[in-house]
Amino acid sequence: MGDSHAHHEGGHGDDHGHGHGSPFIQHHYDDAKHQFDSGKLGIWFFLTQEILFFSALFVAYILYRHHHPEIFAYASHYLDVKWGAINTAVLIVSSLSAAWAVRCAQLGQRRGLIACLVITIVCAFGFLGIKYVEYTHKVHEGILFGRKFDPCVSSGGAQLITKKNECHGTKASQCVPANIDQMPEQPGWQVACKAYEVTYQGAGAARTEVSRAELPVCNMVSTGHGPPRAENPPCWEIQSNPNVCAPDKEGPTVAALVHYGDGRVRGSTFGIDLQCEPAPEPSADGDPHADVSHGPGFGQPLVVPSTTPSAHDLKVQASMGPPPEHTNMFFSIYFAMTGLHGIHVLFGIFVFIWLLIRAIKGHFTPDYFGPIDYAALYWHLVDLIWIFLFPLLYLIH
Amino acid sequence: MKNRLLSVLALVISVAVLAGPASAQTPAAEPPAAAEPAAEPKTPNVLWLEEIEAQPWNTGGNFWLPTPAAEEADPSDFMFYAVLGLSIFFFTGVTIATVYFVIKYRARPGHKAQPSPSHNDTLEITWTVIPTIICVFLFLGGWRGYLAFTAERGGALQIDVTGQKWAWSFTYPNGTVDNNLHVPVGQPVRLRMTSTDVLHSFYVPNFRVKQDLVPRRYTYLQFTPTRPGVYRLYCTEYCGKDHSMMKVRVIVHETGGYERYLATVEERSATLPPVELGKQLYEKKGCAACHSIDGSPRVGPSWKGIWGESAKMADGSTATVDAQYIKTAIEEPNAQKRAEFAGGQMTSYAGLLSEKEIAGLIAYIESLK
Amino acid sequence: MSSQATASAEPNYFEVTKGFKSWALTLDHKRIGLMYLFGILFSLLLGGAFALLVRTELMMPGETISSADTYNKFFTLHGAVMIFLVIIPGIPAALGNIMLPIQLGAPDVAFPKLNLSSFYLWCTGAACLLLSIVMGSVDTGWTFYTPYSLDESKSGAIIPAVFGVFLLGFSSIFTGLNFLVTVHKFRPQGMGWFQMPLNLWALYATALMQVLATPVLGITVLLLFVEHTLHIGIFDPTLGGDPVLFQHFFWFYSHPAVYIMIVPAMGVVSELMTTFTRKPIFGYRFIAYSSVSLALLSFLVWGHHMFVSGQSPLANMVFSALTFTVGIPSAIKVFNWVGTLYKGDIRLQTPMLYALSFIIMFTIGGLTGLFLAILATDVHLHDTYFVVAHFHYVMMGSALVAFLGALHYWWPKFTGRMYPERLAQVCSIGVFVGFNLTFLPQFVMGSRGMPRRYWDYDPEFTIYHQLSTVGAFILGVSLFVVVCYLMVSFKKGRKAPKNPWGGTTLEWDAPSPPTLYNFPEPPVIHELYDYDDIVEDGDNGWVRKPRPAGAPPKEKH
Repeated sequence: MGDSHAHHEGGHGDDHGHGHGSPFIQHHYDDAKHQFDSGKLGIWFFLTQEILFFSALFVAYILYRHHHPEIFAYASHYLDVKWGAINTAVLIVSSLSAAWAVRCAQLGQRRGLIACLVITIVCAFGFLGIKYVEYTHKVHEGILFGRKFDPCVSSGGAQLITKKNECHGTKASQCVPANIDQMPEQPGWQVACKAYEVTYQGAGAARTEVSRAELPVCNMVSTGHGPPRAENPPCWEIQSNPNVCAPDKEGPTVAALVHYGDGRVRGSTFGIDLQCEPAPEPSADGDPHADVSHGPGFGQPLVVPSTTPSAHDLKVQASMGPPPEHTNMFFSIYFAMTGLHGIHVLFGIFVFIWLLIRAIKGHFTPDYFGPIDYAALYWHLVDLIWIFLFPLLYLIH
Repeated sequence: MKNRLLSVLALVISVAVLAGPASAQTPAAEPPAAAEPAAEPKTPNVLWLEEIEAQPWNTGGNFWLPTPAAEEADPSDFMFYAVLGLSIFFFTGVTIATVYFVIKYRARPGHKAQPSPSHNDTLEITWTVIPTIICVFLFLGGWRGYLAFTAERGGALQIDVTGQKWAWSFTYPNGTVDNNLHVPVGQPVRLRMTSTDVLHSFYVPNFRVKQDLVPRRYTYLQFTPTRPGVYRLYCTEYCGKDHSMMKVRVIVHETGGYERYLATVEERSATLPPVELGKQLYEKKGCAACHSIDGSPRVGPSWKGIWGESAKMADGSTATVDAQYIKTAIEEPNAQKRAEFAGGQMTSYAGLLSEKEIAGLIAYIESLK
Repeated sequence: MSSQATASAEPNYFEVTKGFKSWALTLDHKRIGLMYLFGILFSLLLGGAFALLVRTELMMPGETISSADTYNKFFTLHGAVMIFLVIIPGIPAALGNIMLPIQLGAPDVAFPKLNLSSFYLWCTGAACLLLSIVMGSVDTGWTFYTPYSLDESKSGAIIPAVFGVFLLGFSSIFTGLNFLVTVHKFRPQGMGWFQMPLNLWALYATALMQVLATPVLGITVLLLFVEHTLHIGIFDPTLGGDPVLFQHFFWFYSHPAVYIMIVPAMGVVSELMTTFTRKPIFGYRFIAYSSVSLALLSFLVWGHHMFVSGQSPLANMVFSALTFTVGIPSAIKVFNWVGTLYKGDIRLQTPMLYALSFIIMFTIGGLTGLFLAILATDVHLHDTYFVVAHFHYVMMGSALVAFLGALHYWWPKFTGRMYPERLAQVCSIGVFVGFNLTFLPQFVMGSRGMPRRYWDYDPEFTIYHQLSTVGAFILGVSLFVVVCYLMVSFKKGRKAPKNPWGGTTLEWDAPSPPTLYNFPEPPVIHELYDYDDIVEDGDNGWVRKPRPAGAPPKEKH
């Protein structure tokens, strides 16, 4: 980027002979080198702005992690290191093949160029495929960003987000407002609830209730592996999650999770009505465990857990504990960063497909290979950003 | 030529240095008298308070600044006048030079550009260094003044401030809640502020203090009132429709007046009939922004004739507007939304109104048949 | 060579091809710039109309012509249109696009296709922004502060608006990138960095800021977009997000944005000062360096918009100190411009009148900035009319006035027509008087405590508001007349000579209007700002004196 570039000694009239081999040298450039250098400088500036584009998210990451390290330590367990590592490898391979493609183009090796571009594109698709698997899993579990953060929690409000678990039921839409006390010394909520299964007719304002039936409380049994299952479906268990509903409310809210055991999705004419009341004080003599033996009932404190957790569950619970407040922020940042990165990968795929078509047509020559070079630089940056994202999001301990 | 320009610059600096403090003293010296609330307990308490609250606020001051009424005003005003003097000086200098050159060297028959240097490093370095020095002094002056704002003060009266669209609420240490700010003269006041919805900003021009209120976060502001009187309190962070209506009064009481005020509020709420209390709250607590009393719908339903109505809720159920309904509507507004106002957002007043005040509002709504 | 000879030799860029398609798909930087210019002038009238609605509403306390809600929409639209559609693209994207390659003696910008895409991004962005008016209109203020802007009941208007700003941001980034590469790679032999006209220095510094700052705006409004569409919660306090973080991100862009607006204005004024005093600029290097240092320093001062937001006192101190540093290069420039007047041969044609207004108003804008950099006074003045007046002096009184000066200066070059000089001079005085009448009273109201963005105000401020409203109408009428006579002269104006002002930079060696690739034959690089051998030649404007035989060649090669 030194001092002035010697150029346009000649005129710019129609007789402006290009004097270079490729037909892709544009008119206003002096020669192939001038075009290539300009493009290269342009792509460097573009990459600079890309870094700044991502920088705000990195700053957000740093700030939130600084203020809430507990959220990050807790929530990163829900990312799968295995998939993250595979993706890192996939991207590195694609970066390598992109670099190789540049070399092939420089040497005029058309076959090699095409092969390298194909490898890059396949890897990019592979990356997005793996990302799709990860995302779907999270969508399924409700481990999403912001207001959509609505994960299943384990039986009885022990508040463990299920890991590699699936929700075996429908979530209640009804939320119970804030004036519920959680006893700090015992798991569970000092609240008494009843859950009803309601069917409706019509939609919107014209919706009317057709029938309602009270559901029994679930009797959860441990399956040894994976989550505990309900013994008596359809039945319900209470869920506590500050993010499930009414996010504008201070304090905790609860929701009901109904287990059907059949995995079917219930339609919009179907709902769960949860009615709760703050429970009376645990007992007059102040013993917080006084009511532990009772199951939840109307006007009675809800007491949990009703299942015997497996040794594995206990270990995970002990190491995890309940999710900190606003655990959703981690996933907001996770989805923002990986989502934006994914969009860049997608854009890269389009670019490489376009380059592949041009390569097949034989456009690139040792005189003219700028676009391959620029795309490869872009691709290295996308790779580099992932190399930062992987440890920052997946490897927090 | 070079020498002449240099001597002009020297003049600039010397006048600037003199002009700052000189102009700072003159206008601030004689603040015009403002109406001051009397602390003498001649009038009955309730009337006394109403009189004070009905007083016009202080609009005094000089051409540039309103009457200073807190210790914080001194460093701020000093810097203001200093920079004002400096600015006027530099502005006049630049303008005179420009106009003079334009007239003297304007193109006219027989006139030609005279040879002159295209640069002069000494001169340029001079007019780089001098502004730099001035800026350093200005920064230090402003920084010292600001430190005085933020330094912790002992024995401060702590008042909790809550901003919401579009009303203020001030909670005094004894639990009294009011929508105007009452403070004693001469005592440091520390505000602990938060917002229930969007950003607001607490601004009293006469105190020269300002601080944003941020939802779910506390911000703090300190000041020491020095001059009894009634002043304006504005919201200066844009907060929507009635942003410009979010202004109330700050009443700086003379010695003893603040205690009398607290006693009066107790007395007033004890003696006031519930309907009257409700009416006052309606006007003061920002209810009027969303609820009319003449039957016209605003953001929320009108209160006229609402009592005893059975209303359709957004979730399809029906509810009768009775005491329980109104209490819930005040404390958990979104738990029971009327179908036609489902899009409206009301913030909860739980904790901002006492049981007695809620009862007053219920009585008031019942009276609006 | 005489101007007639070149004009007839090759068709100019209007004549070279005709028809809608030849404009819509053009890669010619001049046509793209011209299309920008018309878009910007239209936006200027639109933004001006909103300004007049705002001022009319404020004629009296209480409701004058609109409800509080409508008023909030007026000032939001005024701000958003003026900043994103008028001032930011004004000098760089429109005039810079036309003049930058010509001043470099280059045939085009480095990436003509990218240039056209930037233009269409701008159009789409502008359309989205205007679409939001139909969708209920944003009322958040142009700053989109969270959490107010998270209100879901207004998503319908906010989503298209922020998406529009996102696209406008990328339009700006790509324009900047294009300019950077063009300046680096298309400077002709004989034009080193310090032989570049100061306008190019300014455009270079501006482009640097566009590329480095605007992406942060891009991601910020993108996050706001996903807040509304997906409720991601990064700025939403109810989900644990931080609304103040939005302010940091926003001002990290928007403070440099102020310099994106003002630095090209400074470049233009430097050109005008030298041409109309007929002598070299005083302190070329200081002005060039100060442009670049402003560009760099502008990234370090965003926190001064947030002194009362709850930022830590330490951060406030640092930002206050850094803010003073941007005052110094600005002061240097003013002194240098005044120094240029000294012993000149000053011609008070319209562009120069605008340049002189610029100096006066920029001085006021700059000095009042000192009040806001000082912590103790900023706490009092923050978010009052004092701030409103200050930034209007900088962004309108300076940036827009310089834009008008530049427009008049280069109008004969790129349209090939002269505008009516006498009328233009009257209008420039109208702009000056109207502007000062509008904004001087606002300083006083502000320091007396009148908060900004108020629909209703206390009666004691009435007189100031009324003066301000009267001024705004004088200003509005003047600007309207300017746009009208320019449009008329575009078709009907007197044919412009090659060099109507006696400028020495390369664009004045190109025909008016230039040919497709600007120069029929490669231009000769003369010494910068050397007025000695340019003489007036009646209707032909100014021409280069034939060099006496035997004289040593002055040109550098």
